[in-house]
Amino acid sequence: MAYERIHPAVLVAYVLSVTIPAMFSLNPVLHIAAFSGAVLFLILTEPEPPKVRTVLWLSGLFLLVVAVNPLFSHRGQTELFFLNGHAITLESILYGVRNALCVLSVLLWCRIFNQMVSSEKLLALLGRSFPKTALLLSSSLRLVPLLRNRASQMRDTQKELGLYGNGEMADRITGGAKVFSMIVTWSLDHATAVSSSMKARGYGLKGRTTYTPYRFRKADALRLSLILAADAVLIGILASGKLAFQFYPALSMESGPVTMFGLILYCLLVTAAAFTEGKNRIQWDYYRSKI
Amino acid sequence: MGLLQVENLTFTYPDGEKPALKNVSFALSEGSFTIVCGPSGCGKSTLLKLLKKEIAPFGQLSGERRYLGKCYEETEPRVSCSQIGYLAQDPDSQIVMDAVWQELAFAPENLGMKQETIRSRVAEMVAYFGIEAWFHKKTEQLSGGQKQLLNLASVMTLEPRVLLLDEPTAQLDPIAAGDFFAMIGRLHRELGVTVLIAEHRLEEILPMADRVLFLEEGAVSYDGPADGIGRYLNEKNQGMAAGLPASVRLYGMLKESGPAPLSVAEGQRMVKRYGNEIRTVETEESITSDKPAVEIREAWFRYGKKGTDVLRDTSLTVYEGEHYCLLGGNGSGKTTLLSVICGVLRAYAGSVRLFGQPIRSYRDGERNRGVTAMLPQDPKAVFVCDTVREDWELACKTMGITGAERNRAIEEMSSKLGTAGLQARHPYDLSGGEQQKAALGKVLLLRPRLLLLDEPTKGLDAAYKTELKRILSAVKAEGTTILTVTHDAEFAAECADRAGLFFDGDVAVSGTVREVFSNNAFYTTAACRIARGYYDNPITCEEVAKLCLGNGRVTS
Repeated sequence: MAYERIHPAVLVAYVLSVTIPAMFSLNPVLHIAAFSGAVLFLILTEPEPPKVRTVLWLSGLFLLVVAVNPLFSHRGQTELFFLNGHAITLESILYGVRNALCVLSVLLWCRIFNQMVSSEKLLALLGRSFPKTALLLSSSLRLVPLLRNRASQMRDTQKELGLYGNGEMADRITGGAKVFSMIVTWSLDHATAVSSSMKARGYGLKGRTTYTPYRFRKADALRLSLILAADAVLIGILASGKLAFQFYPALSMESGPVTMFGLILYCLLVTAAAFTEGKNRIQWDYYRSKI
Repeated sequence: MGLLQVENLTFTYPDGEKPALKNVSFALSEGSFTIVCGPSGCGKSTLLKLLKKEIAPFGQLSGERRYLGKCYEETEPRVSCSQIGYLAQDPDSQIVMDAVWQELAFAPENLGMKQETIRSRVAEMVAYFGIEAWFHKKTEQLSGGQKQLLNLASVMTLEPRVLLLDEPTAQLDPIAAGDFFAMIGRLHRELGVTVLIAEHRLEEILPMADRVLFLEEGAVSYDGPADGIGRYLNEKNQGMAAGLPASVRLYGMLKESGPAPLSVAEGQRMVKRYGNEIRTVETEESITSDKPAVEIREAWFRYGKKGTDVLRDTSLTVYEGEHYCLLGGNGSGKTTLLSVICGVLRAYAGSVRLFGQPIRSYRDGERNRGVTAMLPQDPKAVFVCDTVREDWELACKTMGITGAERNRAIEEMSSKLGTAGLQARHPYDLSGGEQQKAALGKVLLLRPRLLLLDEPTKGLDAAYKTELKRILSAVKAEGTTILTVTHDAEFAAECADRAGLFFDGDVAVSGTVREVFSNNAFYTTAACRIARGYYDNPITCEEVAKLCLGNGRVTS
């Protein structure tokens, strides 16, 4: 993936700059852009097509969010039909669509964030400013699978030894409590061992540094400054109200060169990730064909 | 002057009645390789911890510890923590971080090294230890052997001059242990690192060592060259002698003199000084019943729909009243097979029968009470109460035994296993061997007709292994069928009736222990390798010695 070559700080800045305007603006063009940008990126980077279940789940969520708004909001001038004596308007349905697009695109971008910025990268970033917190988080991340394995191992063993065997509720509860208390004992035991291993390797000495394997290159600086510049312009336009959008009583949108510029800039920003991936792919195929 | 010196070191734990160490004195010269051995609880762990200032236990201490001629109390903290490296037994409890690269950077970070220095140290370690393939993995995804190598690499990032290793391979299988020892040997040879290692698996490291310390009840009872320990133990301490390399044990049994042979090749030369007119050990056919206790036919199993098959067309028959040992490499599916037999996992094809009945015809509770019981690899998983006694009582409760009958059952078990002193203690406070015995006691109180053991000798020293063999033969004599999964060929040779080699999801070779081991050239006992080509079928040291002595010495 092309994003593996980019410093995590740039990736974090990028995803934030894409999602924040989509979250706070009412302008559906931004949401459509954010949504399509995300889908495009995922198509280019996901190794497998999405599972039927995921698609069903997301469409269900979409329909639900669309439906909720017109049920509660009856503003708008174009009445389509009446439900229980309340008007269902075109505007409120469209507002629902906007909400759904907003939720969905934020969800997809969160997924992209997860894919781009692994916990390791996030910790490496955090380690710069909050070394203690980063260390704590990393060691807790290590502990989670360890405890989970331990718990299932203990449960299986106890099941095999007949602790859960009676099938009676009371028996199961006391059995579960016993296993749980033993896991607590085990983790305390584990914690003392880990802490002595830390001390043995010099933890607690003054002047601890934090190592990060990611280098901030010139290209990263360029990318970051482009992103920040785009952010500054977009925030300016958003604050000036030039990207405003009204649903009620009727749909209306600001127009003019500033609005157009803002929308195009956001579209460029949103598709930048997909564009980089696409370029990367084409390059690969091109080089391969040369060999 | 030595690199590290200890003079008249005596140490008593706060709650200890007797000192854990008594008047221990020795000096390690730069570049030496020293083994500390001795029975469990002899104080070797305490000694190693005391030599690592940062983790030294609290207690009453007298005597001197000196590093580079300086008293420990005056040594710079930065010097002592980077130049004296320490590695403990359990691979899991020494890993702090989530990712491998984070773990490697951990120690240099603590010492406040610069980015570039850390980068080069990490790079060096990765190249030297061959970590490239798993450098980007999470620490949790590693195998036990890889974890321990990572721990060693992490200690080595500080470039220590002394390595203190506390039974570093006790939790590893023989192949991983071999790799680990090979790495220690390389560090010693190529970098001149001074090594002090506490270990009871002497087979592989004795040839590397130039000195051995033998501790007994906290005092040094032998301090001398590596090839002298064999004679010492053969004369003084039969229990621990069982942990010596086969060639050294044989040397003791033959009452040879001169330097003891430390390798299989030297052992072969020693054996050839005896005649080989009689080539075979006379065997009495052990009588086992023909009623199968476990009968698996063409079983298939996998974890998850898309996983690969762990059991592939597995067939295995274990007869009532016999002890069957299943040997095989790591990850070959042996433990999975045990789980299928005890009903925790279920084969998706094929049949599994216990004592003639399909496994599914037993209801859950029924199978656990009196049919099968399993002792898992980690005995700690067996305990759920605050004392051993309570845990055993719980087992009796499961079996519906109460009152006076229960107390009698516990008494009996306790005297059978020799665990009377452990009853009131917390299971986690016991040593590895004691834990194993207490866990076995709980499992046996469920009165299984079929006892399943998963790597029962892991981490046990020679004396405990001998004890375990005694217990298991008593259990077998009562008619219990035993199925053991193990890496330990020596253990299988000495106490099993039949054995099988598990490979690629199926039992590849199966037969009596003698057939299996005397036909195998690689996966067999050391005694077998020593006698190979000279005698036909001995598989233990005792049998080789008997053949040698029976034929008599031909050359001098």
